[in-house]
Amino acid sequence: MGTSSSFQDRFEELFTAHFHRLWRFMDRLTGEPDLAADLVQDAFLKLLERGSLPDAPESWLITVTLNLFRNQRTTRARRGRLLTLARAAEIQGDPAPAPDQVAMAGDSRRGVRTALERLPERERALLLLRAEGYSYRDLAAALDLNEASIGVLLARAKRAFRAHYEDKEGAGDAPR
Amino acid sequence: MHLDERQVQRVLHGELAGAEDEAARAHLATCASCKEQVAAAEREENEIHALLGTLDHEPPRIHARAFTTAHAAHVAHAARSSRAAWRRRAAGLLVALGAAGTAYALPGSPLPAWVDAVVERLGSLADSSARRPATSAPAATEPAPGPRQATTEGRSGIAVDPGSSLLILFARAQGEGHVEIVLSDGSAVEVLAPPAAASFTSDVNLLRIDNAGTAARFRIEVPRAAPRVEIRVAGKRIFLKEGPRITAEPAATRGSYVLPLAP
Repeated sequence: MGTSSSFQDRFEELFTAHFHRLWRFMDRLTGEPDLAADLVQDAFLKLLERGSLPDAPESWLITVTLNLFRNQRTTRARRGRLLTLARAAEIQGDPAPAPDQVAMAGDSRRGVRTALERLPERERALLLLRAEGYSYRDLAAALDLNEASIGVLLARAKRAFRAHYEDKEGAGDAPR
Repeated sequence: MHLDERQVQRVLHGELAGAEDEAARAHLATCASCKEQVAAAEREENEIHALLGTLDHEPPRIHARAFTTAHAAHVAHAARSSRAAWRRRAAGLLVALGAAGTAYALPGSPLPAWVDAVVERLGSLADSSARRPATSAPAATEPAPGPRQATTEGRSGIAVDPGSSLLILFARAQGEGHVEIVLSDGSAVEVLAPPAAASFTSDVNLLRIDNAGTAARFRIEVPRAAPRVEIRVAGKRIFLKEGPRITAEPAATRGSYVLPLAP
């Protein structure tokens, strides 16, 4: 398969502009930076192997990355074990903690993570993708939403996130 | 008429256009209440983004050109060969390194890590026995020490098909340092080196290691199934595997051969 220079140039522009945005989105979504890197690389590989650009490459990349993530969930149990072990190693490898700072930072992160996970998946993705600056058009295409409703859905997602974050003591399982 | 929630969000995100945008701007110029709503929405969003930022990790260093170069090498090799998929990964790495050779050898260059990561990713996609990519977390379930662990410790490396015969040639002797050789159950010869300690080039049946420093330590994994693997340092043979028979000085201790790279 040959790749034309124009396609390659455009691909590299897309990669440069979007790799880290997508990676940060997936990192925040999954809490697993390595998994995020794998998924985003796989999405870009699929684009390369496609050999031509879709009509809306930004939303195409988001959609493919999210689909890869959903597929990846079938191995969630295994990843859960690896993550647990990695976290254990991380904790064991840490220098002596400054208790106050560690506790505060940990509480904040945990609160953010919990608040995110309590959002329905679509609102979570919407919030995180908008934080990366994706346009309403891209958000609508990637998440199969009506573009006209994006503003209202975003406002709702932000309200829900704030409410969950400020209610750290609240109970309830996170919707997946 | 005041702005509704949808319009407030669209104003905040610059998503209004045309007549609606003009009308909203005109209204905001005269309505303190709506102006404050937009300001409050902006404050709220900034706070949320700051909170989301607490989740962030160090981003991976992967560059577009390396990605496409490695992929092109992968594809070119795949078109010429019917060898197993994992061999395509190796060829991809070799060509990628050829294209990026100078930068690869520069101290502190990010190239080794991302070329390795990209190519290993390509290989793992094509290989049903996919291994964890170099960008992945330490594989805590795997026995240690192994190349995966070494990679996560900041080493760089290369994987090549041993074919029927492979000569691994260290370009120069070193005053210090050594090469540790272990036999593996894998399919590829894997060479691991500290960052910037070496660059690699390859031809048929030859892997040349241009070792740059004077004290670097290398690790080479040689598949037990490889028919013939020979390692030379500046022309002098230090290791030979022919089928099950291995010639090395000194002999193996605790399952590995630790051989000096001295002249």
